[in-house]
Amino acid sequence: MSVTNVVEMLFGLIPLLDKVKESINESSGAIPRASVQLSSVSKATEMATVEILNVLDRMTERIATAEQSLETIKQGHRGGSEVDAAVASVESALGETRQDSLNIAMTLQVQDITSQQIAGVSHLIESVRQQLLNALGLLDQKGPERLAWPGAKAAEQTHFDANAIYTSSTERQDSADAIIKQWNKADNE
Amino acid sequence: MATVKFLVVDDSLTMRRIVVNTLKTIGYTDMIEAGDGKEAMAKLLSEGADFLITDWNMPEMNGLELSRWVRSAPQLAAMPILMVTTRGNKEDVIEAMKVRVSNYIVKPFTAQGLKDKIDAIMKTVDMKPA
Repeated sequence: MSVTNVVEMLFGLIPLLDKVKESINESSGAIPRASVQLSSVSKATEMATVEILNVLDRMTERIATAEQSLETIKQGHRGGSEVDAAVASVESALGETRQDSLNIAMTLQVQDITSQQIAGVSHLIESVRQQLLNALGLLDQKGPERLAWPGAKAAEQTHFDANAIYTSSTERQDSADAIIKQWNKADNE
Repeated sequence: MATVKFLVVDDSLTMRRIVVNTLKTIGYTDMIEAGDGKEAMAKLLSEGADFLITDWNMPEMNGLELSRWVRSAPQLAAMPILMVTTRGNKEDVIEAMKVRVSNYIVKPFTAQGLKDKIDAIMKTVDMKPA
């Protein structure tokens, strides 16, 4: 390869490097927007979940009032199989509704768990952004200046469990219980 | 009605509401809340509590650090601590046991699961369950 060929090749590389730099710049610039959007998803789901919990609280209060009224009816009633059966049926329906509302409330733990998963993703894409900016810094020496944006620090400070899982399986709890049992046994010996 | 005073610590408002509502369903009436370990420390010192239910991952001070502080504070050291967390790895459970938490619940939990753990802890410290 002649010197002329090498010089031509180097000149050809410059626009290519510019394109790489531009592409990295665009990608890293989009990440803060993605982080903000993910954060707003978590906030919105928390607000909606709290709203649902408020409704469930009101339902529980109404069930308690209905149960008290039913008790009054039972005390004032002198018997009669049809009325007894109706009262028993309403009692049963109220009990089941109370249990259902409790089950709904427990299921809403999914909001906390998905928030932690989202925080984990935010943290991950922030790491990717920093890597991209480091690469960009090698190309134009301005990368480190771009590292600072308010969301970056927030993403770093977020406290989450990236391995949080929403599951109805009791496997993880059973495993924890077994460890605790073993620990306590060893502690007592 | 049992008169045990619970301190529920979690940075998630949703989780605090769920734990408090579950405690009410079980039959407890006296609950206070904190959003992180530091706030919990302040509440324990100013308002007191009989039973601590804490998350692990929290800003400012996490549940593990809070538990460590409780165990080192002479007036609080014997307080029952129930860790309620998404962290279910073996290493996590062992780390919590090293800090001497009383028991450990992996989220998501059931109302019955929470009740069983509270009852079991209360049995060991001579408290009366609801």
